[in-house]
Amino acid sequence: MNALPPARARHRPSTARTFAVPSAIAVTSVAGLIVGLTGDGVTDILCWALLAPPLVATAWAWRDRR
Amino acid sequence: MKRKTIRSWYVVHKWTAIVSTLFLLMLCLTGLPLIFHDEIDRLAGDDYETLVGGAPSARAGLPLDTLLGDALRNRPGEVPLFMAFSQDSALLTVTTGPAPDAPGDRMTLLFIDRATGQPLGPAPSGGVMDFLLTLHTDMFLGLPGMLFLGAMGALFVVALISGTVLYAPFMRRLSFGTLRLRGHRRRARIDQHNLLGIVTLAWCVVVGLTGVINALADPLVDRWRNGEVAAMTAAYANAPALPPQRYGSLDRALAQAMAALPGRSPQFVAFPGGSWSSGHHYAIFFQGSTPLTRHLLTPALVDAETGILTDTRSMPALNQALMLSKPLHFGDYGGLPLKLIWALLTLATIWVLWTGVLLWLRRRPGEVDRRVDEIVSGAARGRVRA
Repeated sequence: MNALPPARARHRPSTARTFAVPSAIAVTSVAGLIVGLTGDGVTDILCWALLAPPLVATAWAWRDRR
Repeated sequence: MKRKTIRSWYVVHKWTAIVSTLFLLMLCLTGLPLIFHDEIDRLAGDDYETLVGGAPSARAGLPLDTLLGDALRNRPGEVPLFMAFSQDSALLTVTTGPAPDAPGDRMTLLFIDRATGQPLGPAPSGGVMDFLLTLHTDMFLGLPGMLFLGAMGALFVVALISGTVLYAPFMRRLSFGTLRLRGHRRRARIDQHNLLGIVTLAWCVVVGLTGVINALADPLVDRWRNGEVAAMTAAYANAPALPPQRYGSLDRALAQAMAALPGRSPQFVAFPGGSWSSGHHYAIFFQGSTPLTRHLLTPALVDAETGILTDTRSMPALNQALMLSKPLHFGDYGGLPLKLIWALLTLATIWVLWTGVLLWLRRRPGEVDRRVDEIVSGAARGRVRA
């Protein structure tokens, strides 16, 4: 039988983990906003892709709602 | 984080939000249709750019002096204030008014086809979009209204930052994206408030800050004129203002300016005596040729009587920030998909504001302490992170 680590060590919350996904979304958002300014055409497509995470995250959370 | 610290941040978040939310809701609701004002104008048949076509007026067409003369004959007794070029069509916009320093509400905008010389009549105004734009920028109160809304934008940014600080302890034991919508309505609202707030955070900060900078547009332009322009035209400091009858050839002035700034395209000309120039110069504003520098303007000051270039210099950093704040605030620089994304993020923001309002309205005595307790304990009832 596997010896599982104590529950507390497995589920240790930390500020870094709380902000992991939010930080990634924030960084891609800002990158998208700036990238859109620097070009046209293909750069615009990159801009839209980088700004999609907030909407995608919301859709996922809604799908998994309780 | 200590309980006392959390309580302080909670109070900051609550009060900056309470003061600004009503105005922010107005800004979001008026902003939504404004995102699509080009498309709405096109539907209303007011989109002269596509109606006109032809070689861009910034590059080619009939002599500007001729067209200006025609426009002024249309408005006897008035003087020219601005001339704006199009980078996409032959559309030329001439703005006239009763005096060189006429205020915005006394100005008349005339559209002209630079390829044919045909006047297209006064620019459409007074419609719903104009109403929404004025409500959005200054609530019909002029500069005090703009500055007040700028202050509301600043409070919005403080509310966003304080909300983010509170997100950390509250969400310690909850997975990202937790939405507990069945059960207590308060818990459902706070989960929605936290999720939508945190995913729109970066975009809201950018739109909020650029909104604040845009609200400072008038003071920033005045500062540039009283500082940089005065320095560039120091030789004219004591000369009396140039009367409109003695304005020289605009075509020649433009040619002089273009020789000094090769590779750039003129965006607009400010005539002498207004807030965008000195009393004696055509201030010809050029945009850069790359997608980024297209938003940054460089002015060339040409003596309006002699047509000789006085000076050309980039604008100060704050004014450049102002110029970049426009596209970043409007979201109109990335095609229709970007505008749709902008609209969805605005709707999400409205929901954050609305859940916030409901959370505050449905409070009971002792609310602050209970909320702080909840945040301190990390909202322990919820999915434990796997």
